[in-house]
Amino acid sequence: MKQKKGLIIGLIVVLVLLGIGLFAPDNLKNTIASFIAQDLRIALPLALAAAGLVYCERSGILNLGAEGMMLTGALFTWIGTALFNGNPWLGILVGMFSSLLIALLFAFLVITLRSNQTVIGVAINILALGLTSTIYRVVQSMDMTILGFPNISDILAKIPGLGNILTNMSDIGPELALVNIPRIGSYLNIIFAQNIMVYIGIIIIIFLNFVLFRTDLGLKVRAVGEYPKACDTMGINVYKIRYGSVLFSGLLTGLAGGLLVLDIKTFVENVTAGKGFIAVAAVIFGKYTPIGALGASLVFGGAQAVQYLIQAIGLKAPSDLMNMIPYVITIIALAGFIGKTHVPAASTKPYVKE
Amino acid sequence: MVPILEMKNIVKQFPGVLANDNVNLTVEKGSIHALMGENGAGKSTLMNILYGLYSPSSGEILFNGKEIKITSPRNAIEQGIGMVHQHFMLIPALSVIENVVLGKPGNKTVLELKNDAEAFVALGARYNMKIDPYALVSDLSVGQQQRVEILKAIYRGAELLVLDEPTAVLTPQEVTELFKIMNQLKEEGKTIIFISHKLNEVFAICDTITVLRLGRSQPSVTAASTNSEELAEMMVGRKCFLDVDKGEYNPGETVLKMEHVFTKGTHEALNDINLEIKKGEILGLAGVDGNGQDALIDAISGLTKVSSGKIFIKGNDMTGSSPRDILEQKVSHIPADRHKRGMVSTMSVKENMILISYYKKPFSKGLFLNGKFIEENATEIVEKFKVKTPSIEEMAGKLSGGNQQKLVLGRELSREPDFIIAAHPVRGLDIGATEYVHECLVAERDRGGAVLLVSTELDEVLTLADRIAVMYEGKIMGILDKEDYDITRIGMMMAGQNQ
Repeated sequence: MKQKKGLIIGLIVVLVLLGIGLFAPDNLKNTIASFIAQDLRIALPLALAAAGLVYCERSGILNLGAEGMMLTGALFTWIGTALFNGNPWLGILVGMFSSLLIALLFAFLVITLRSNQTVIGVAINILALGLTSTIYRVVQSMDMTILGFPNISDILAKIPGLGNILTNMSDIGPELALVNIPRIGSYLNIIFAQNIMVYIGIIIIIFLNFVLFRTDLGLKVRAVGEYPKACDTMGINVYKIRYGSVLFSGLLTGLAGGLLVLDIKTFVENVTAGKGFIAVAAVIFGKYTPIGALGASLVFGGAQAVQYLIQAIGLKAPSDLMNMIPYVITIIALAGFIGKTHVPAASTKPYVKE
Repeated sequence: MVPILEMKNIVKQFPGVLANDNVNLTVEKGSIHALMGENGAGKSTLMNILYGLYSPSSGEILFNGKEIKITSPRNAIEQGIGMVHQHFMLIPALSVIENVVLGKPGNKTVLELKNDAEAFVALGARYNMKIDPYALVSDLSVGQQQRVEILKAIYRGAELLVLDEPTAVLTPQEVTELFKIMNQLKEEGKTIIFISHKLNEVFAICDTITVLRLGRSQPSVTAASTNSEELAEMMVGRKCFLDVDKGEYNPGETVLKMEHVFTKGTHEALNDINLEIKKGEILGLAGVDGNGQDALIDAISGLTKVSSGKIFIKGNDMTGSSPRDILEQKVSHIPADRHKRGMVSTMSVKENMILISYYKKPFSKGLFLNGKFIEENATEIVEKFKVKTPSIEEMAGKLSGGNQQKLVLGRELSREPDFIIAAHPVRGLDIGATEYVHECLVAERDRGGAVLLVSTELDEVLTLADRIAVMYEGKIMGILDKEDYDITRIGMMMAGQNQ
C-alpha cells in the first residue's frame, strides 16, 4: 500500500514535469530544466549517503558520525584523485577506504564497547573535522589536478556503433540524442545531461532497496534493528550484521563525500557543511527506505537548487537567507513527519549477548 | 522404543553457581513431558543447553538414540529441536512470514516469500489455525503470536518442541486452545517438553513429569501416579501447605468504604461500585483480567479521579485526595506490575526501600537523607522478608522475580499498614515464593489489617479470601460470604451472569 502511494506521487510528478516541458514557454522551460538538473546533481550524493545510513539505522545503529565520515571521504578522494593523476575512479576508492576506517572505529566503539551512539557520533564528527583540516593544511600546497566524472553523453558517444545513434556531436562536444525530440528535446537534454555517477547512483539506490526488502540479508538487517535477541536465538550473528551495516554506511558516506569534491573539483575545510546530518534526516524523512531517502534527498536538493531558480528569475534576495533554505526544510520535514515513521525498535540500544 | 531425547549427567557450572548438577532427563517420543521446578531450579539452564545457547560443562545428549553436540540455536533447529520462549522471539515490525523465514537455513539469497507463505498457511490449516502470513506480528493477539511461534518451529522441522511457560500470558480460553494444539501435535508423533509451575495444567495435559530442584533432577513420574501435594513437595523440598492456616474470621470496623463510585473511560470504567472492607478480613476480588480491576485500584489509591461517588478510608473522605495523602492513611499498595509501579529497577535495593517514606523523619533530616538509618532499615527488611540479594546496594532489577516481589512486599508491609491493596501478588512467582507471599498477607489480616486481594487465579481467591467480590465490566456482580462459595456460581458471575 505505502509503496504504491509513493509510486503514484512519483508518476504524478513525472507527468507534471513532462507537461511543463511540452507546454511551457521556452525561457520558463529552461529555467525549470536547469532547476531539476541542479536538484539531481545536489541530491544524488545525499541520497547515496542516506541509502547507506538506512542500512545502518535499520540494523539499530544511529550513525550521527555520518558527517565526519563524509568529510573524511571528501578529503581523501581529493588527495587520492590527485595522486592518481586526476583519475576520479581511483580517487573515490581512496576516499571510500578512508571513511571505511572511520566507520570501523565508530563500529568498534558503539558495537563492541557499547558506548553511547550519539556521543560517539558527535565525537567522530569533531575528530574528522580536525583531522581533515590539519591534513588539508599540510597538503594544500601540492599541485592538485582533479577531473570530474565524465558526462553521460561522453560515455554514450564512445560506445562503438551505437554512439552515433545515442548522441549528437555539437560544438561543445557530444550531447544526448534526446535533443532531437521535437518540443521537449532540449528540455530533456538539460535534465539528463548529468555526470555518469548520477545514473550509477540511482541504479545503486534501487538495487539497495531491493536488497533490503527482498533478500535474506536485507531481512536480517531489518530484524537485527528491531529485536536483536530474537535474531540471536534464530542463529543470526547480531554483531556481524551490525558491523557490516555500519561499515557499509561508512563506504557510502565516503562515496558521497567524494562526489561532492569531484563535483566542485576542489576541497575546502568543512566542505560537507552539514550534508551528513541532512543525509541522516533524509533517512528519517524517507521512512528508512533507500528509495524514500532518494525522494527526501530530492526535496532537500530542491531546497538548495531553489537558489539557482531565484537567481535565474532575477529575484534579489540575501544569499545568506537563501543558504538557510535546505536546513530550514530539514527541520520542517523532521518536525512534521517524524511522528508517523516507525523507528527501528532497537535503535541506539547496544546489544549484550548473554 | 528409543526415547527421542536423553540428557545424561548434565552439569553446568557458572562462575560461583552450579546451575545444573548431574541432571538426567529422558523424554519418550510422542509424549508431552512436563519439566517443573521453582525459579532458579535450573530449568532454563537445562533448556538453554538443549537449544544450544549454553554448552554444558559435562554430560551427554542423545537425540533419537545418537549422541549429538548442539553448538548453537541454529544447530539445534537443524537437528529438529524447536523452542517457544516465554517472551516471544518474534519481531513485531515484520510480517508473520518474514518472521518465519528469518534466519532459516536454506533461504535463497533473494527470498521466495510467496512459496513460504503458501506452505506456511497449509501447515496452519492442518492444525485448524488461520493465520494471515502477510499480517504484521504487532497486529496479532498474544495467543495468535504464540501459535505463530509454534508453527514456526514446526515449519523448520522441529520434532521436539520446548514450550517455556506458554500459559503464563494466555487467557483461560486461549489455554484451552493451546492444549488442543498440543494434543494434536502429540497425535502426529511430535514430542513436547512443557515447562510450567502450575500444577493443575501439568495434570491436565502431561504424560510424564520431571522435577528439578536446586539444579538436580528428581526421578521422573507419570502424571497418573502422582498428585499435587507430592509434586509440590518434590519442587520445594518439604511439605507444602497448599491450604493456608488462617486465624478465626473476626472482622472489625470498616477501613475502606466506596459509595456509588463511577469513573470515566471505556469498558473498563467503574460503574456504580459499592464496597466495604473491614479490619481483619481479606476481600478477594475475582474476575477475568481487564474487567475494571485496575480502574478500581487506581481509584482507591488516588491515581485516577473518580467522576462521581465517595471513597472513605477509616471514615475519612479521601475522594479526590492525592496518592501521597492516601498512602499517609497507612495504605499499602502492592501493584500488579512491579516493574512499572512497584520499584525502580535501576536503583539499589536500599533506595527502593524508601520510595514511599524518603521525605519523612527518620529517613531524612531536613534537606538530607539519613544514610545510616536508610541502611539499617533496608538491612532489617531484607532479613525479615528473606529477600535474597548479594547486598542492599544491588540493583533491584538484578534480583529474581520472587525476590523483587519480596522487596516490594517488605517495603509495604513494614509500614504496618491498616489497608493493603494486593494486586496479583503472586503473578509469575514459584510455589515457594507464592506460599510466602500468602503467609504474609494472612498474617497482616490476623494482625488486624484490611486486605483487598485482586487476582485472576480463582484458586488463590478461594483459599485466602474471607469474602469474594466478582467484577465484570466495571461492575461488582455480587459479593459472596465464605459459606456461599460455589465455583460454578462465581464462574457465571465472572462471565457477567447473576441469578
